[in-house]
Amino acid sequence: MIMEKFLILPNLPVVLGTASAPVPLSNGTTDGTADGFLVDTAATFFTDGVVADDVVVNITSGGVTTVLTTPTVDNANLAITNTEEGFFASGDKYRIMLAADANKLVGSGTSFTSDVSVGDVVLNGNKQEATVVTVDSDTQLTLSAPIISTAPAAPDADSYYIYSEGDNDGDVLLPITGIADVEYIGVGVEIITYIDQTGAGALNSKTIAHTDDGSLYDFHNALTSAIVNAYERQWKDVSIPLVLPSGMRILAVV
Amino acid sequence: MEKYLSIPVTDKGNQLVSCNSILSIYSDSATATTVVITYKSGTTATITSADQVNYDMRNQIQNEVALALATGWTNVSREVSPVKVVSGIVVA
Repeated sequence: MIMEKFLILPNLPVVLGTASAPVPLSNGTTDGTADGFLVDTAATFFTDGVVADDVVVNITSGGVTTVLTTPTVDNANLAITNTEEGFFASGDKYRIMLAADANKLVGSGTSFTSDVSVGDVVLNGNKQEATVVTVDSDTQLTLSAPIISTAPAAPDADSYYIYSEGDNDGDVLLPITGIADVEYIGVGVEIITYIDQTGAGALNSKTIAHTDDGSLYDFHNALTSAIVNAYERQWKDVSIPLVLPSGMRILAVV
Repeated sequence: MEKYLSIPVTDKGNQLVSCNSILSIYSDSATATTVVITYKSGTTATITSADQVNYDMRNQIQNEVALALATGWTNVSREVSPVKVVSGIVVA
């Protein structure tokens, strides 16, 4: 008799995809510093239509501020509301969003009104978090922070993962019977390979993508410990929850 | 009864390798750098290390598998201290 065991992988995304908006008014990389200013000598803020109160995101640090005064020419330092020393360091990536768009997430082909709830957590591709403030329509959400944008391409801000803590909270069962090997592939990726193959010479495996490890093997150790623990329990304990390291989330299981 | 060897691998932490449904544990030669665990399904786990001395890695893996399977059912994972540093374990 084979003892079947499963891990309950907690809280996978209920919706994930690539946002089609908001599109930033401007984005780039700073090449100088001045307190109270965004310095980018290659920028064209006036031409781009940047105006006072637009939202300025320091992508590198995660800091958010606003445009203090509307620029009147290109190639000038942009005055920002935050005058804190070092808010922008030289080489920081930034984007500037229309104030009304800054906290939006626009999807396509989505069913946000049925799949998403106020309070759900949204992660962007750069693993920054916000929560859903309102579900505006099937294709638009308003978030608590400006974490979604179609540009710049890197670091990735247009991918999104939405997590729910409600009844439909995205838990999945992962079979752990007949595992041949559990391998740490690299930061954020783990592969479980099963002894039985799907066909002649075709490996049967599951790849788990997750947010970056705080220390390198946090997720790997949690996963392997949970598998071992599952088999240390009685046969009737079939489904055992995987307790994720603090702050970590699973992005996908394929 | 599921049993695993927990083997430290360079830059990968401890990798779990199954002790169940094994068909053979094999090395090409006494000094080979690989020990191949072949499962009944045809899946293989190839453990790579520095050159063996008189099949020392193969013998150790065989012994560790046998010892793991000889323990009670609640002893699921057996920590292995390999006689050679393991640089990789590849399943194919």
